Amino acid sequence: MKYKSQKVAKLYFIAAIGLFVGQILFGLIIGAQYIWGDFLFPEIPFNVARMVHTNLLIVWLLFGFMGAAYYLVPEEAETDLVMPWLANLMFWIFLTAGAATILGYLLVPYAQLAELTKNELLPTMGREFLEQPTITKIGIVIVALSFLANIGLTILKGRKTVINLVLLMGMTGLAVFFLFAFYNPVNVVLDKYYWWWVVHLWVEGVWELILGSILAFILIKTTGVDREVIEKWLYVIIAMVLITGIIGTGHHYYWIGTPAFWQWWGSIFSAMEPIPFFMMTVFAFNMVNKRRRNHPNKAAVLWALGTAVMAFLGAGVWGFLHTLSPVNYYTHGTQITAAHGHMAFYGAYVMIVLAMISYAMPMLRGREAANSTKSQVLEMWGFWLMTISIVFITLFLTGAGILQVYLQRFADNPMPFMVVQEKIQLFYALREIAGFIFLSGLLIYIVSFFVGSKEPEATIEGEVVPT
Amino acid sequence: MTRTEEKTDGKGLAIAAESLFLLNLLFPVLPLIVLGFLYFRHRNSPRLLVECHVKQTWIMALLSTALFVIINLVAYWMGGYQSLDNLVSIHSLVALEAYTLLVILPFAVPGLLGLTKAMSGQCYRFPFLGKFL
Repeated sequence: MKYKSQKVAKLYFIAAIGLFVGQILFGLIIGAQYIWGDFLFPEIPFNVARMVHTNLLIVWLLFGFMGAAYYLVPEEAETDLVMPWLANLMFWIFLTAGAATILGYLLVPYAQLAELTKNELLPTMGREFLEQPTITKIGIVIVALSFLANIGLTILKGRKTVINLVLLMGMTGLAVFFLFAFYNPVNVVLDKYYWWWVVHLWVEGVWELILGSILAFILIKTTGVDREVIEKWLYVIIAMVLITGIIGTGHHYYWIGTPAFWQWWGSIFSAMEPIPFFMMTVFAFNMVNKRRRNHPNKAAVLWALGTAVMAFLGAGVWGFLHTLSPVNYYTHGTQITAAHGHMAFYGAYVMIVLAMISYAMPMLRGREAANSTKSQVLEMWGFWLMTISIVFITLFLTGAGILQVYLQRFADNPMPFMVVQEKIQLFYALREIAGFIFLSGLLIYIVSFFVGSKEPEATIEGEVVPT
Repeated sequence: MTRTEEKTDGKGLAIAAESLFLLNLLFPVLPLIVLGFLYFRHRNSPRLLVECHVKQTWIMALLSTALFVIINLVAYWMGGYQSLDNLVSIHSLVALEAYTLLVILPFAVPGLLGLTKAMSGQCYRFPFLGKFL
């Protein structure tokens, strides 16, 4: 660790992993409720468990992004964070607000939570993924602004690189687009229209900039390839992200009451959205193939390469699978969407945060560059178990989705939703089994932090001659 | 590496072949023709990269295109593509989904890895079928 203030990242990473465990536990609860409808009812109803599952995902990824930025920015800017105390303070505020919100979901009926938090003063609750009470949303804005001020001023004070500027752009976009969570018009079409400005322009827009910059940072550090080469790739990738992703928002506007031209615009631009992910994969493998040195942290390199491949598959291929409007006419809102959502979030964002944690954590815990071989072997077991099980979760959900589309929307005598749910039970059971394997992978990943910590660091096997 | 050396070791040709293979997955047939031209022109080349990348992508592209044709023929026999008005029907949509899941997915990932290996001037064998080529 080159700069003392980078240490604040550790807190964020620990919180991220802790919340990740919570997210997976609630995922397993929902998975069980798909099989046994009254499982844990009325203590934890399905809608609450789902809300906790998705909200925890968003919150822990935000923790992960902020931790990554607090580690990356000082190193890129070659100067300490201007206000490390603020980063620490915001951590505790964000964690407290996040925990209170989740407890609110679990302990109080949602309508009562809205009353308790005075939602009527500025109504923003009740919308998927944006269920947080208004007061929490205001807290998120304060945390985001403090965070932006901290990393922005650090970058201004220090060296400006393509990586930290792209990261800053992504983080600023994240904060700006979140403001649309406060716009809650009565007109349902308008509501959905701008709701997607938060949801879509986050995950298929500005978050991809964050992903690209973190990936580029890890690749520079682990491969030793010239910064200029990596920065040129990053330029092209983010250009393609923005070209395809912004108008690609149109693939959410097919059936919400917006003009029909969105079916063309949405189809064409979102069909091109796999391109930046494709480039990211070529970029990552190319850099590793051309590496100038072998990095002792093999687990971090594995996570980085895994991110590129899984993001391409989950966000790219599975996104393309149902993005054209004639296809989406049938598949909209089915388990095919869930399949895409699971693999895309895991491949693009979970993996990049874990890649950054894998790269930075050894240094944050006092190592020179990497954990011991024993610890890394265990971590790589975690990687494979989680990755393979998410592939199976995706395949089972895709199978469920295809059958659902046929039985519910295309068969000569279409069946009602709940009847179809019974017909696809087998897929849900298989998905739940894969979910438990995912949890075991996550637990092994966590155990890897505590194993081999007294053993010496893994060493470099030999310098690589560039091809 | 100088321009002349690059030409002699066939790196550019290997990259072109892998790119055409990937392009053929998205827009089948036309890139296959260009790839076939490359293959027949360089099939006796002694260069390892050419042997490794061009021959392999040509055969794999033939396979993926054959699967594309078969999937669409099945869609036709099931009642799809009967008229110009009927181009977007459940048959063509299922054909598109089947092609994406069964062909693009298993062929694109090795193609991607092949492309990155070609860009680094290294040889690459596709999993399973690559061993027999």
